[in-house]
Amino acid sequence: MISSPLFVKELKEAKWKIITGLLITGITGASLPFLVDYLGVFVEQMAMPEWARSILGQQLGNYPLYLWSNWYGKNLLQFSVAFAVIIAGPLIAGERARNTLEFLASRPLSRVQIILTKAAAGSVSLGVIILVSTVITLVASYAAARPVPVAWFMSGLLPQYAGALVFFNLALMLSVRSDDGLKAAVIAGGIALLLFAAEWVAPLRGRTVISMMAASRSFVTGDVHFGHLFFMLLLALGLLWAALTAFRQSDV
Amino acid sequence: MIEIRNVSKSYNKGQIKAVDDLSLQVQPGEIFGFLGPNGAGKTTTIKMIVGLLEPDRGSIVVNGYDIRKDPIKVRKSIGFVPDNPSVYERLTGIEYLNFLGDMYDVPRAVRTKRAKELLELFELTGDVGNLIQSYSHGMRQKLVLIGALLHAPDVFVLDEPMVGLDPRSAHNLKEIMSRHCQEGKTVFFSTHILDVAERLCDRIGIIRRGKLIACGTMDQLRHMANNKETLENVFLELTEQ
Repeated sequence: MISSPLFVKELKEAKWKIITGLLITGITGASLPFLVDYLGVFVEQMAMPEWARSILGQQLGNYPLYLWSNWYGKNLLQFSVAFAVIIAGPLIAGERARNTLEFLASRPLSRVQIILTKAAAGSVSLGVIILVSTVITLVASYAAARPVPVAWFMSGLLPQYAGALVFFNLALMLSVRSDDGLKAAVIAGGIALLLFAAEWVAPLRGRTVISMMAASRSFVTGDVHFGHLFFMLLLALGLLWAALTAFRQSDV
Repeated sequence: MIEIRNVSKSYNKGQIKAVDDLSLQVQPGEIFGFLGPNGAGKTTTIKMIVGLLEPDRGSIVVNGYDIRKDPIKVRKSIGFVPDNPSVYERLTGIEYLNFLGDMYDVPRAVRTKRAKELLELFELTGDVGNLIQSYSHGMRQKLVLIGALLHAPDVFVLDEPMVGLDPRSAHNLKEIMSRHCQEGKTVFFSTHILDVAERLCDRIGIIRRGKLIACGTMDQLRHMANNKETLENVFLELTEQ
């Protein structure tokens, strides 16, 4: 089902995206454990409403809470959604825009193989960025003499990746229907932004893919919430299926 | 061998008939030239042969495989050169050729030998390590040609292959096409360069508004066109009617 030559070609073409993603997320993750003290001073000196000072103070006084909420609830969450749509947006639309889709579709590959191989290569690229940067964050935490339990911290990884796959496949589905990779990525990113905004609406809070990615229950228990994981993987598969169906029905 | 039977294809929900009940056969060992004015349906026909477009009606059989039932086997037996040499710009020339070699399961040793010969023939040896984005249009066209020949296809399908080629490369391509057909393989190509078609082709088909209006050897076409001497005059006579 997966074409290894195409898989390798996709990874070669994506290498600069992977390197850029690793640099940005890696540097951000590595700096988190070292910034906690500076942020404490900053919160003390900065004029701000008392409720905000109270929330920030709570986070900064509890290092595991600070690390989890900043990494899985903010930095990695935003980066993984952004890189998901940046990697997936041009996968088909970019080929169409560069006139290389005809080249690809005239090779001995089925449409199913093309989509699945591209999805696999993109998912691996995204997975590498999320996994490596999380490991860097963990190592930096130890280097800053702020150790956290490894199994506990890594339990946030799977929901984060599953949620990123939802946005990846959403952008892929839009990419199949477009001849502009940027447009596909921007629309998928726009939908993600709406979901981020939905977290501010009380009845929706905690019910979106975004909050499932932040995995607050894993923070408390150190276990993966399999219900949320299953839901996100099912949604990601549904979107992949929609992309596949649209691609099979379209003329190249 | 290529066998096209009663094939039709239209666009815009049937409003534009690009190919209309087209039937023709190209035998092994034959070079077939496909001519026609702009928008006559040449590229649509070629895209249907290589499986890029699905015919609305009719059937296409290549090398014994039906394009609808065995599209992968059809594509595996075809070397296709599109009218626009768009290739992956972020790969180097050699990465591109290896990508194709892997895709068509060409063994390493065979691929290396063939690529070396073809790169020398098209004077691309010195550039093959460079990124394709630095190539000129003609160099890209040559790279696409080399890529299409790398797996020694039984059927060679080319859409306007001479465009962008320098005279030496155009000459080499004609040699390759002749050699290909002497080996019992099939060559199907579209062109606007009528001299090339006249000198190279065993048979020529002329398409106009999606319909095949003439098909045969040069002598047969001359006969159809009131004994006009050159292919240019034959073409003008037949496409005017």
